[in-house]
Amino acid sequence: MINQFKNIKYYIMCLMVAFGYYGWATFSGARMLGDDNENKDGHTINSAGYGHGGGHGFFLHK
Amino acid sequence: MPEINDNNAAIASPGIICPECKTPIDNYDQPHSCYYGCHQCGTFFEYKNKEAKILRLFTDESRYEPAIPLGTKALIYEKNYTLVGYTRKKQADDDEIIWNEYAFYCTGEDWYVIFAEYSGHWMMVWRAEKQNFEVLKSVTGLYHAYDGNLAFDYCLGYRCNITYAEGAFDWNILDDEELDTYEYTAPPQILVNEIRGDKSDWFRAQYVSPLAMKGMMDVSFDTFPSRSWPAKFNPSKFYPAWKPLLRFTGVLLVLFVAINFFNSFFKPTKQVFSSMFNCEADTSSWGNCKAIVTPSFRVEGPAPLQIKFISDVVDNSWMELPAALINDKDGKVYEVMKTIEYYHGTDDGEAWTEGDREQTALISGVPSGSYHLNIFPTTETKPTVGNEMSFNVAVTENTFIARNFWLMLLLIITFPAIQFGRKYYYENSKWFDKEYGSLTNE
Repeated sequence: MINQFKNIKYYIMCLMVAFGYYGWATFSGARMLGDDNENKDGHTINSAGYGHGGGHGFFLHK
Repeated sequence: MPEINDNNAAIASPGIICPECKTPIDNYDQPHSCYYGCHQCGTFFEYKNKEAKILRLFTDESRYEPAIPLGTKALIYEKNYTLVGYTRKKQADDDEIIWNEYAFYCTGEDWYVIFAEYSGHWMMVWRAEKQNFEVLKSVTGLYHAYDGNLAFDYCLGYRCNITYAEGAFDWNILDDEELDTYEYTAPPQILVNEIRGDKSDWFRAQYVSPLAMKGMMDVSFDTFPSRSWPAKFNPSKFYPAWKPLLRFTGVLLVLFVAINFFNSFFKPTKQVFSSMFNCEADTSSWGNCKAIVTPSFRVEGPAPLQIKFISDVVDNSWMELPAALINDKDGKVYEVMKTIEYYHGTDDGEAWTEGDREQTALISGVPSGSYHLNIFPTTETKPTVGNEMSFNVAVTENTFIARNFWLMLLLIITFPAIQFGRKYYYENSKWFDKEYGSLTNE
């Protein structure tokens, strides 16, 4: 039974690693590729000259 | 393909003389054979009751040296066979399709085993134990022969002409020219149906590599015809890995579905915050609004959070919504920035719209805890009394990360899909070319 998978053992290993990563990403709510920064202009919220207006004070903790 | 008449046949010594050139004919199946092909002069004759009757004279042009010498012994499925007859055939309606058949005989067996060679590729053909294969016409108009659930696609229907023969036969091989032969394929298996009047016989055929043939009989590769492309009968090289690959992919797909089902069951999508906000003009900066701090909300993580901004009042303008998701306890910040832009108008009497009044951002892997959002809206026009710029913010936890899903699905199916494509292309190039199976339903 196991012997039949001998020819594709490296493919199986790669896929299992990828699948393990997918399982981890699914249960931890993480992205597999890329990041959450969708601001392609490279500005950050507290950087000067942000967006169309001026800068903002950043940490407005309650 | 003939049935051997007597189960008690024995291999005999030479004894038949060609009526044309007087050459002795080797006869390896004397009790049954009564048709002979002379290797010396190409005469095919019947020999019964010590009388010879010439049936056909094969011309010198059609003469062919068999790749396997007559009399060659073979061990096929632990039974001893002897090559007793050789025939060279061509498709009746196409002079370019020529193949060679080697009839092996085994004492005690009812049927010959035929090794057929075409374009340097070999098939072993034997009578099928089952003789009641069902042939049905599919909705696509093609015929299929069914062996249980396995469908063999109709591939070719033909009649043959005998162009040369050597050795001894217990049937008049010239009668084979009246046979209607139909071939059905489920690569690498083939079913052959020979029909003569009301009589129908089924045979199985399978590709045999030269190496496998060498394991069965003492033959030399030097005499084998060279292979030519396209190969007809040899199974594709993907077969050894194809089935395990399918099984593994199937298992992975089941696990893939299970993981997603599990995740959606135990970590259901849930809205944790939703509220409407008005932009208030910030007098310290033209065009900007005052920063908005949302009430705290609880996130059960680790979870992906979707933040959706909707503003129905953005009209031919824009609203930038930089936001920071901040953990109330440790101050960890996750930044997102979205711009709602919505423009519409009429050009040359044609209405158009551009942009969207709805934008979503995704923050992945947010740990459990209490969070709030700091939003720093900026609008194109300064909000005034009576011209408030309002927007809604909704935060949803355990939202579906489509990118992960499609990426993993792509990883799972890409390689099998490529292999399937290669296999499909390979099989098609073998079987469905001009000469071998135009898929007509004759």
